[in-house]
Amino acid sequence: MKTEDSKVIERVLDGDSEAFNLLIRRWERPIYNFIVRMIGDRNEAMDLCQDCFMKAYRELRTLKDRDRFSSWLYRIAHNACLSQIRRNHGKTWVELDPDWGTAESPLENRLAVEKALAQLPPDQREAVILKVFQSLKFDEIAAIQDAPISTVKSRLYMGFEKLRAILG
Amino acid sequence: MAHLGDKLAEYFYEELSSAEMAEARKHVDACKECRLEFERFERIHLALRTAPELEPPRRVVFSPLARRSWFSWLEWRTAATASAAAALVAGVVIGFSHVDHNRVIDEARQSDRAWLVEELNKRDAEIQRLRGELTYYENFQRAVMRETLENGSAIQLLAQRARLQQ
Repeated sequence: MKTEDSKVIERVLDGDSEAFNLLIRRWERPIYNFIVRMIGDRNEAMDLCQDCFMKAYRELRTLKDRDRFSSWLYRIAHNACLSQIRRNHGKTWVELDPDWGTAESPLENRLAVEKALAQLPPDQREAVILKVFQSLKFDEIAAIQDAPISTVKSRLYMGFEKLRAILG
Repeated sequence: MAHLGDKLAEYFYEELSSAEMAEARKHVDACKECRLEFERFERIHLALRTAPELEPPRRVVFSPLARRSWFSWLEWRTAATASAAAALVAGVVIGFSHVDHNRVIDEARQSDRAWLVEELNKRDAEIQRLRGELTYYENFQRAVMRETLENGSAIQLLAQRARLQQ
């Protein structure tokens, strides 16, 4: 059975470009949240999110398995994030909240988690984000990271170990 | 069953087969070590999940060019040129043949029309593609400008620091 995404993709490829907006509305929030957790800067994340969808539209014909559109989109976002992280290399993270250890409100929790995630290497951070927040399957994460499932699991375990030490 | 080991995450996220899940569940119930591992894993997962999702500050913008009707393109230069060419072809055909002139003209018009529709569809698709490209490069330009500004302010700060050190 065809997924909702693949039906929409068929329409777009048949010339109904407007239908691409359906894919955007469905995926912009998860992709934005993935990017913002990866790179930390909300405005940059929004620009990257926009770029990802433009790239996806331009390259939609190259998508081989239309039932795996979301994994393909995350893969585009993954590449965009890694490029951005390389560009930002050397920039220091701003201390958002020095008392994150006593976080209680949702805002404080978010800041504490963002800060903790920022301390992980990008591949571990990504594995944690894709699993915990985006709820992707291990094989989907493996396709996005272009790594074996065992590597993805190792990254998740190592990430969790470090986060445990940071968050207490 | 041996300890969960590296199957812990798959067990936690329920990605094992149903038989493996049942076996793992039985093992965790009986094995204190694995149960503690499971609980440690769960705690960190839940701690992360307390951070709420963010609402994007704006919507992703995508507005492909609306498809124009066939007739709206008739005013365009290409259409005029094509019509002139078709008339010329029809004239030549009429001038050098003794067949049914009306039929020849009709056929020429029809083939011309089909060609024109195909050409206009190609242009339409190209315009849509270029609009996507344009949005992409506009964003890229914004990113470069932002980076330039950041670099500028960093240079100013360094210069200021160097002056103070002197």
